[in-house]
Amino acid sequence: MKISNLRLERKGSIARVLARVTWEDNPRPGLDLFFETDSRFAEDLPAGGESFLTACALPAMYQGERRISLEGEVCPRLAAGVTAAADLLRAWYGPPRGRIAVEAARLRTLPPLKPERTAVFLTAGIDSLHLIQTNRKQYFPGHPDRFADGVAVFGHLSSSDTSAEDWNNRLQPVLREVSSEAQLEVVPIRTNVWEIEPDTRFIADESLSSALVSAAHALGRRWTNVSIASGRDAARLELRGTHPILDPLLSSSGLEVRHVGIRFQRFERLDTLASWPKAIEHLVVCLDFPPPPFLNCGACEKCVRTMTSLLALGRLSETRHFPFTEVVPEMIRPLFIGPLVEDYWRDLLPLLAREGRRDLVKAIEEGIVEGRRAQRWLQDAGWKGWLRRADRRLFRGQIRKIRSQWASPRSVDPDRLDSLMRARV
Amino acid sequence: LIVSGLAKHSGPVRTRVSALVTWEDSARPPVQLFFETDSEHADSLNPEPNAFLLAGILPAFRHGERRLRVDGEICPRLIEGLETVMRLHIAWRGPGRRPVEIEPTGGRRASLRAPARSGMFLTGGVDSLHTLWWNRNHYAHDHPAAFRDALYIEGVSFPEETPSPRNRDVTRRQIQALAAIGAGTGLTVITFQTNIRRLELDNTFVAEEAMSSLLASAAHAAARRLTSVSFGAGLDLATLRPWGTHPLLDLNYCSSAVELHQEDWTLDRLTKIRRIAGWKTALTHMMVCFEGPLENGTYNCGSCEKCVRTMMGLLIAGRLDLAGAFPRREITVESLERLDPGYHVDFLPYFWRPLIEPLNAIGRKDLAAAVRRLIARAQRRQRWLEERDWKGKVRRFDRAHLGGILLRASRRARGLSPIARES
Repeated sequence: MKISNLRLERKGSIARVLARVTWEDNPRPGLDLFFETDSRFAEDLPAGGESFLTACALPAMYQGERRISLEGEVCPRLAAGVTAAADLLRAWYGPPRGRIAVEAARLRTLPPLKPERTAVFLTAGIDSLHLIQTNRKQYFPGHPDRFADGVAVFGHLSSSDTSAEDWNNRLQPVLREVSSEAQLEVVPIRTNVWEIEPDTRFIADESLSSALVSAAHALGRRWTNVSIASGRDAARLELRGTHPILDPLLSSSGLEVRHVGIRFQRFERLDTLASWPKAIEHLVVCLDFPPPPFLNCGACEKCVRTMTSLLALGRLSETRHFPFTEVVPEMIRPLFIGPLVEDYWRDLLPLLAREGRRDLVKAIEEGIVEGRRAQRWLQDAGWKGWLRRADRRLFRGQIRKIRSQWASPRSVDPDRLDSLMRARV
Repeated sequence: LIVSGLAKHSGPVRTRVSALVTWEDSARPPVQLFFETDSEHADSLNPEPNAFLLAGILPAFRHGERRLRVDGEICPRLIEGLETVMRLHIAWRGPGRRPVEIEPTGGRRASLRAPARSGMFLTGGVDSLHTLWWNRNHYAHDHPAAFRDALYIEGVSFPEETPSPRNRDVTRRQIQALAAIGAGTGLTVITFQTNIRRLELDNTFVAEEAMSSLLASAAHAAARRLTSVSFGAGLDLATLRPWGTHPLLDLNYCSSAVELHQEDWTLDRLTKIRRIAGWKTALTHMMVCFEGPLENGTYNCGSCEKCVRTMMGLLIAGRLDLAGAFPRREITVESLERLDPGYHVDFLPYFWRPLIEPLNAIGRKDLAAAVRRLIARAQRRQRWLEERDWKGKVRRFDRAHLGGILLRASRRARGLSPIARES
């Protein structure tokens, strides 16, 4: 993979750095990779190739590119770090991921930034807001580890199509309102980094933090360290694309990357966050970019789990961006409660039982059983798995196709949900 | 656990910081913990509550103390980190322990950072030399990430109050090697003496759970001099496992005053050796050996598992003949056949297997075959230790049903001393 023609452009109120990305060992089209922000941050856009290297290294490794050739200078710590990150992912997930060599025109360290300035990746989700809340409690104003900026990245999880862009535009005032109360400056960064490798599973399992951190390197003259809020906790760490030992490998000599918060379980975070009314009011957890008027779809697993958690805490009615103020078993039943989220749901059971919501407890317990069954199905485990494998091998999956015509898909009762949503609107 | 009476005593020759550590829920004797250095570096050492908290937390966790109360203010970042470490240990090793409550008498207050200055823990071994080599090759001397100081912690590896002749000799050789390396690289070598190992004498516990917390303790004792302290990883991606120094643990030992960095944990030892093999200082002053006492002023015995493994790496790199740090410049098949697999026999296959192909590549098929036999020997011993072979089945049966009669008879037959029934 070649990264060339690094340049800075200004267009009206927007400043952007961009570079041409060309695949060498894959017949994939090249693209102009960009990071853009408000022109008031233009002087923080650096001349080096740190952001492009960070964005491209893991996708290049994933697609079997042998090298990244960078036209321009880059920090040697980051060059070693992205190679180490690729090695780590290869150790986690195995072949076909190969070794990738970083070839830069020049290696040079970044001069230290004075005074130090700290940022956090900002979303309106539980993990990010809890981290900000904790930071505010731990560090007094003026301390170098107190977050000064919230980095709001858009374009690392989806294409910038109209619906996602519209959702992001509606999110911005929410971020500004929460940040204003937390005395954080919002630094928006828009990018098309998702286009390098749009494989959702790869992003979730391998490249999430590199995509985020590439955006931070794009404003590398502004910060000395940047924190990523952990979505997991010490007891439930999984190999993921953002992980406490993966993310710091993406540090440079000028920008330290931290993955923070595995001390706390997710429900613990929400419970603490409940003491910050503005955060509860503006909570946005959904990644489905729903159409107006709401920022959360209210139907995906993450939305329903968060709504159920808020209900258990008696705070769901205080939120503004969920379409529902009530949770009913019909919302839970269609969800896939897989191994990654089973514990999160299980944490809610005693609280819901205490609140007298036996209907939800029952729906969750059934969902967990169903999730395990589905997981076994996905893994082709047991005698049914043996039959499915045989069906695929001997009959090219014809038996499954015939069977699926008989089975009726489980779905939500749309009338019931519509009436709940109408009540909210 | 109560950590109290933090104090600093500066004399004309030595400066010492200390604290009294008293157990609350465990019937263990109190210990006056200390770090000590020469008066030249007296300003480097201060009675930092963060440092004594780090020294005490994992022993307290292991022995079921309900809380750790420490005199003074503690950085909230460190508290969150230590709470994370205890939860990670529970996740790794299963339930049975509960996290210790950390109670600073002065409350939680973010530490302030001294002006940026970086240092490293230097032992003279391959890992720390590689960390130093990389740093010197990539940072200009005035960059804040360029190492200015090397910390050597005397007493962190050995828990004895009175060190054995072997341990005294290892320390002497290390200090000698570090002085030469420091002089060759412009590093100020600062030696701390400490008795922090007196809190927990169990070497296995320290190796498997607590090693880097003790290093972090020393780094925090120097918080007014150093804001960032690095150390070379001993394990790599192939050998990484729940262990007393691990990238997932070590990043939790930072405060706002001191960053602790475990470096190069994705690199294997052979890669590191290849990189530093062209560096004359490393070839002359590398000190990897923990055997002793040694004679003739050599750093390394040249015959233990670690020495031979390192020499093998240098042979592959084509530099063994220039490695003045070792008493011999050749490796024979016979020396490999005689080799004791060492302390951590379970690690041996991981350490040695990467050497086989490179040995073939340089035409030393005889040594490659000997390495394969060594690995097979280690695996046999590991099966024996874990009682996975047929002898293990007999031993388990003997213990469970015969009260150890067969073991005692076997020892008598081999002329070995009898062992107590309960052991």
